[in-house]
Amino acid sequence: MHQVCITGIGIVSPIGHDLAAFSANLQLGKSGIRLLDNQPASRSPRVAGVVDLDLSQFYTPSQISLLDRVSLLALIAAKQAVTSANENTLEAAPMLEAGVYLGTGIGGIKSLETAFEEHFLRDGKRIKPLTVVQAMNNAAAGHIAMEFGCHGPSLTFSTACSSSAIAIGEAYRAIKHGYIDCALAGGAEALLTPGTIDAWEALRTLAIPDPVNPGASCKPFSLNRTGLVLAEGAAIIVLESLESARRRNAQILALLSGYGAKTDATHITKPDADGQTAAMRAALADAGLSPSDIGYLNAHGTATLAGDVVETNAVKQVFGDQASLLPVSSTKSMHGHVMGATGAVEFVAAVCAMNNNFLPPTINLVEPDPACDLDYVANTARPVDSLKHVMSNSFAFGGSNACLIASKLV
Amino acid sequence: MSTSDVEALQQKLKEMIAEEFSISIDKLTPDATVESLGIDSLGLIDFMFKVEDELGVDMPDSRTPLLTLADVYAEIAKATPRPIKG
Repeated sequence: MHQVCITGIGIVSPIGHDLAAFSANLQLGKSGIRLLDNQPASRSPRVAGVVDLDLSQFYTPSQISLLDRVSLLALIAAKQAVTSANENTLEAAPMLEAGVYLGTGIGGIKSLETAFEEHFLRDGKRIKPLTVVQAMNNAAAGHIAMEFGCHGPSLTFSTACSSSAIAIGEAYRAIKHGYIDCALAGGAEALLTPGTIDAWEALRTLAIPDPVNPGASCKPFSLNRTGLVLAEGAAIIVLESLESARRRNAQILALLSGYGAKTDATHITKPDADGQTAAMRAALADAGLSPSDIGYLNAHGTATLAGDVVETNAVKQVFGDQASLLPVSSTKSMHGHVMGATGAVEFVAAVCAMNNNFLPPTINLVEPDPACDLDYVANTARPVDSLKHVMSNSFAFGGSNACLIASKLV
Repeated sequence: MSTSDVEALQQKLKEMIAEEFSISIDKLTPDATVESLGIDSLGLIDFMFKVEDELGVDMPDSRTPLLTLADVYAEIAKATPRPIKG
């Protein structure tokens, strides 16, 4: 068995296009949610967590034409991660045999939707020939493998909102058990297309835009919460065995110490406290930790009416008497729900908290819900002396629950 | 197609290829192979699709290998004007 550590982090999110900006904005409680542009006049306004990044800074027009946005975002995050993993090291991270473990909910949906619109609505004779290779769920993983010459397993996990937490967890296991020595792991999502937003809206799960401050539309654990806010982004980390990281004198940002994956097997969308509890307990057992060892929990906290209460109850079941002492926050209040990438984004948020000694807030929490009665670090970040172990929850449609624990190397 | 039409089409295609793939136009001789110009198969397929839109034509469904620019020009010359929808 090998210990597994994080040696590089890359992130492109609605609240920052690199790790430093992301961490700073988490601490500031800044919202990356805004009204969407170019919405049909017949529609009510919509909000989303948007990555306002000029992709032409990074890619030629030809590259932008060949890759879906999800792959472009994933590649930017992966490059940041590899660059940081190679900073001031004796040798570069071992990419040759590395695996690529990526999560995405809906892959290259923008390419697919655009092609189908052309085909069905405009009676186009042919579909854009690259539609298949842009839209396929494993496109981003394939491009990352090519970019860095990773010849280990290239795997794409699609378990809705827990996709990238599962991807990170499975990469961790592969390193822990000696199948690989290094992996690029995380997730990417770029689903802010008209059809996808309509489909989510039809499920009656999307937040109603806050009429005064659109940036405050996502209100996890608050009595006046109205639903989730869709977002796009990518977060990718370099995972490595501790031996490999030490051999090349790499920075060790954290240990990945525990992973639990459990399934509700009860309902396709309705969250289940028992399934969530099982995932958290499995992660704790894997890490060899007690609930009281955890200093911060990044909740799944989507701001749906049902989800926040069920998660609150699950946390109480796992943490018992300690639950009221545990700081729990939903950073989705700031960056939105990045779907297939959200587990990775939030795991990175938990690592930022641990490494910079602060508790990221749940912003927009002004009307407490009596059914959500934990310490949600309301509205402003809180400094802490030290965090040794942090946890991140990801619970998905389909009942796929995942929980990750990061620990400080002592 | 008259000789002058063919030449005009080839000139237009050369300009499009030069721009799409950032290749100097004087390298685009008819006998230059697609591979030697650094154009990969997917990039070429995508380009042909753009040509259809740009010129308002439909190319026949074909599996002819397109090895040189002359092959590409010949394939595009087989295209027929896109019917106007009403």
